[in-house]
Amino acid sequence: MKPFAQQTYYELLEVPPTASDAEILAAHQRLMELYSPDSIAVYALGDPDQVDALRERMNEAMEMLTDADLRVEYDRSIGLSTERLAKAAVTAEAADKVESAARVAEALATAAAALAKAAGAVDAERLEAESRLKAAASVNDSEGEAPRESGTPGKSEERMRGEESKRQESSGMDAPSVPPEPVRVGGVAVVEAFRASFTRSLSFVYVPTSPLRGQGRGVVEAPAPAVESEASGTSAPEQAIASPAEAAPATVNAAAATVPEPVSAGDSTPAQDVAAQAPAPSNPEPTEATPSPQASVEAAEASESAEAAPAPAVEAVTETPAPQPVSEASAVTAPAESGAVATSPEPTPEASATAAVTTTQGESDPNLAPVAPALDASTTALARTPATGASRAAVRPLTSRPIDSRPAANSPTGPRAVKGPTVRKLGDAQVLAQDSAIATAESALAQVAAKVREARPRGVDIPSDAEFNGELLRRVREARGMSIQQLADRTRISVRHLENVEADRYTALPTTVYLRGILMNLARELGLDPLRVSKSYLALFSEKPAKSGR
Amino acid sequence: MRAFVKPAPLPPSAPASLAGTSPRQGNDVSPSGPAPRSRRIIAVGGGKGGIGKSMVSANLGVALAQAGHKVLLVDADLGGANLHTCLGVGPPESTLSDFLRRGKASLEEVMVSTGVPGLSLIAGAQDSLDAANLKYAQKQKLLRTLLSQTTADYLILDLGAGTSFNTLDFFLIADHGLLVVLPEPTSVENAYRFVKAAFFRMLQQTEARYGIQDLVEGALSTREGGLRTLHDVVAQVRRKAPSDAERLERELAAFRVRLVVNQARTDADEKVGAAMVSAWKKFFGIDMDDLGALRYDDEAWRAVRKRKPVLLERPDSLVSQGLQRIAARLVSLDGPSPESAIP
Repeated sequence: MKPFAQQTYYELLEVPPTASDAEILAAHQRLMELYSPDSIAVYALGDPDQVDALRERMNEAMEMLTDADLRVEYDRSIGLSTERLAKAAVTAEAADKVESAARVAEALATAAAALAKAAGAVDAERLEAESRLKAAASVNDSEGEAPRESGTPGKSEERMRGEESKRQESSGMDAPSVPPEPVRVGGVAVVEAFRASFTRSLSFVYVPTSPLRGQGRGVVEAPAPAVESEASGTSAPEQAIASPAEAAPATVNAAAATVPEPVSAGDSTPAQDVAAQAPAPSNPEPTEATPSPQASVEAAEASESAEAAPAPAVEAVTETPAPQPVSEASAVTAPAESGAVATSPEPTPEASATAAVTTTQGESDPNLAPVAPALDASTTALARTPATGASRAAVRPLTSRPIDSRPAANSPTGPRAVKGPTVRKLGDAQVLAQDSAIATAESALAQVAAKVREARPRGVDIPSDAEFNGELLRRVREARGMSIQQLADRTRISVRHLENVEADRYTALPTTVYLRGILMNLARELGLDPLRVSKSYLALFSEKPAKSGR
Repeated sequence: MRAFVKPAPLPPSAPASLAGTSPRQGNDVSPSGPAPRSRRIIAVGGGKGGIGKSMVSANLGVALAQAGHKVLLVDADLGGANLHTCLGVGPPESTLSDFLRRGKASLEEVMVSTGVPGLSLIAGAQDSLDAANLKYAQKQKLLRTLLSQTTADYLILDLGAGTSFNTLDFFLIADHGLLVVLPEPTSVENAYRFVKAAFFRMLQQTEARYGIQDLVEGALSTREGGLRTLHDVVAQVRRKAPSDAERLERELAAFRVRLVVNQARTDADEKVGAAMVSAWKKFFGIDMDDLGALRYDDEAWRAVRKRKPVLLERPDSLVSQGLQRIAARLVSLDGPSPESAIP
């Protein structure tokens, strides 16, 4: 039993390393209550500062562990990863190795068949989509549809995990669910796209077995939560969320979609609700069958970049909030929109359904506004109609991105808060207007890319035998994008000390006892192993010239 | 961890000599000793005054006696003895001070009966007003005698308030250190202080055997960077002698404080015990047990007014049920019941 300053995040939250997000959050909440300032039980237990520090660290732990991405990294840093990864790999590998090859082949075959069927399928799909839309409309009121179907935020994590697990458990199977993305772009380069995406999905298949950083990271870690999430047992919602992304392509471009749909979207009941939303964009579609070239190009770019950057997707955290305002803004734009599109918001189920669609589409305008102010509501309203074809493409990157980025969807700051919106957006995404969607997608991708650029070094390559001198600590800090001041604020170590540590000014540093505390704190803040850092640094420190005296 | 800074100077001879009668040594002997049954010592402390230590002691004694055990209650609240009042025993003819000062040889000679079958009492000192200031030799005599007494299955020590060494030493010889706490900041504060003091007292007693004298002194006198927890102490010892550290750790872990939350008025109050256990473990890495809570009950107050144990007066009251639960838990903690151990 260690004093809490040395406890791992798991020990700190009193959860097993295999705990699910829900368990972690519950434990965190319980402990926050227990250590709340007015809690009798901790009165005079330690210094108030200590309790504060403990709370802070517990928050940190919760944030870290509920962020799938950071959790992997943390696990690795405390040497846990190997077990977890091994465990994950065992399950994933077992499934993958045996089945992936067969599944991929199978999926390819299905895809081919699907392509052949494409033309006919489109109609069938559309019919089905419409009927589903009606069903959904009768159930949901027009405005609330999108948020509702995307589910309560609370469930979102499970769903996310469900998605992850899906991807992990049946990566071979899921592979086709990614492809639709490129496919839909033109409907022309389908085969190439498929091939490309297969290579990509294959990389997903293999990732779990090798602890890659970068793009692997998000995926690698997924199996563990996936395994855990089975316990939470909300498989229906899980699939539901997985389905919109996949179902959407299904209705929009049947060619690509037929593959994923039967595979992953088909079975769950909630999935149908969500699926009903997915078809929504396809409603306008029949009217404008031709994708606007420009849009499709952009979409292609978008999807390309999405493809090219699974790792960026991992860092997609920041962009997720952006789409979020969408649904909030809906009420404002909705009326204007629906008028423009001439879908009367009549009370008939169908009409209201379409209204819902249009409103949701309209929503994307305000969302887009900050991103691309050039587009105002009216233009979008007009543009939307002609460019519907493109919207599919545009929508796709949006939808697919969340899928890719799922592991990262828990932002380090407010995992819960962000997660909900993310999932909601997933649902909304189907209905986004093409232009705005493109813009959103682009800006989001840009953000993702930017984020990735700065986040990449997060995993500063630290050899296992590295000496943690000031230089390395500085590099890690800079890699995290933290200034000395920020670090000082968070660790409550003075700027002077931090500077001295980073500059290896041993003589100016306090004695070992204090320095160790500083280093541990610092390392913790930087996501490094406190013990290792302090040990390593103190070793250097003790070799300092004798004149320094202590 | 300022609370660990116990400025009270230690009589230089105390640690070393006390080590001879240290709790674990004494208790380690007892099971194989002459005692025909498993004899258990329960100490009831709490740091703060007026939190119901005597009420809990008296009623636990009654509960255990009713369950068929032979129980000896000892009023170790040397300066403020009133356990006899809780039990409705009038001013006793012989008291602890007879044993301590008048040369009575055995505890049996100063025992008085309580009217409850199986429950006898050694009342606290009534006469001498300086009874609280037990001389070191007297304390040693009492501790030795308590540890070696064989007449009862359960020996319950009702301790006084505060964290004086006299109190702590009685607490530490017990198998079950019951810590009575009210769900109030004042009581919780004193309870934590009491436990901290007890553990470091224990370290002082063991330090001579482990050569960690300096360490403990350091822990008691350093504010920052010193040894904050027992874990630190063990780690230090380990650096010196790994085998000793293990033994020390075992000994430290063997002593478990058991919490009793008294006067719980709300459901939240009842959870304070569990919360304290959790927080204590988090901060100091030491396990405590939560034995359960006693509901605030006017019946308890009325019973005291009548100078009767509430367990006899109102066996059905909430507080009585709670007391029975705690007694049952204590018995179950001791594993096979004494009856089954009877030859």
